[in-house]
Amino acid sequence: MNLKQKARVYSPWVFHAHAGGCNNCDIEIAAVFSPRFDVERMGVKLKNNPRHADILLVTGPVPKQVEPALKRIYNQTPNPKVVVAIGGCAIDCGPYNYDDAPENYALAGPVNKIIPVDVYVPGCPPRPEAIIHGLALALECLALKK
Amino acid sequence: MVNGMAMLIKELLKNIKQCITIDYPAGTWPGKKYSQIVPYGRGMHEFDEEKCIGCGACASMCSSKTIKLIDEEGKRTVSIYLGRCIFCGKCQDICPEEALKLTPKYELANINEEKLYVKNSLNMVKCESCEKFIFTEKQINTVKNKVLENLKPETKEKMKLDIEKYLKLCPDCRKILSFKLETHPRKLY
Repeated sequence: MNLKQKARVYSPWVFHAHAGGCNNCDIEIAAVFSPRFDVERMGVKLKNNPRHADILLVTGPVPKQVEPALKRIYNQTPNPKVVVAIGGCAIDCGPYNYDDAPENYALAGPVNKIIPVDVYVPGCPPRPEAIIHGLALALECLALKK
Repeated sequence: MVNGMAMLIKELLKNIKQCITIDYPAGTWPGKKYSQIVPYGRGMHEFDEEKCIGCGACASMCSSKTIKLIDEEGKRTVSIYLGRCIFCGKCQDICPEEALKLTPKYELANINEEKLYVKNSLNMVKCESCEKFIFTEKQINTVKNKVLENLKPETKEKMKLDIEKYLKLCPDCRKILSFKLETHPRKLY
């Protein structure tokens, strides 16, 4: 590990990309930054600009209107970057897409089809501790990247 | 109203003394692995492999179609994909043998998508006439026992012979061989 990589792991900044969804996972992410489940002791900080971020938190199934915006957000984040898909919708579209039914015309598939995902956090919504566990795995991914 | 205010003031006084933030990964309570988790909390699935019969009741009730039955080479696998699961607990409620249960384990984050599967595999039985795989072994035995439980002793001896004859055939072969087995309605008149 270089000095640069060490510095990145000790202060990872996070951008929360909301792609459709019903706001439940977003409330849990807000709870993660509250004083009870404090993530800022790990150095994680919530930013409102993708150009400052190292980690992307994506929630919700991606509708067709949001797809170009999500691609643009992904291209705006500087390398190295880690993408975390939070909730059942982001991993496999949750209850909105069945295998036997015809495809949903409003969806552009799960997040995995559009941008490469590193960590999956299942749950509907996942508990705040589960999201902290996912962030801890994301830091391991970030340490290995150059 | 007064009681509620008293409770609130008590909680406030407690929180002045100690730190509110929960430790990670262990909880604030000694001896508890997970913080603030209740025993009936809905988390990761767990099969009881001795009890499961592979009937597929959980797959029919699943609200997001995560549970699937895959029949391959004489083995039926009940596979659950946790990525699409909603953790509603319908599969736990409808399971006739109480084999599926939701444990309070919720830290399920993973780097590989393939490790989010929970699986259980069972042996199957061939049909005697057409030699296709139809049901699992355990399912046939449980159907036998459950049907014979509620019958009168007079009809039980007659039914025992019939059930052992019919359960070894698939539903299509039962229609074809109905005249031989004397189940055809024309035989009754």
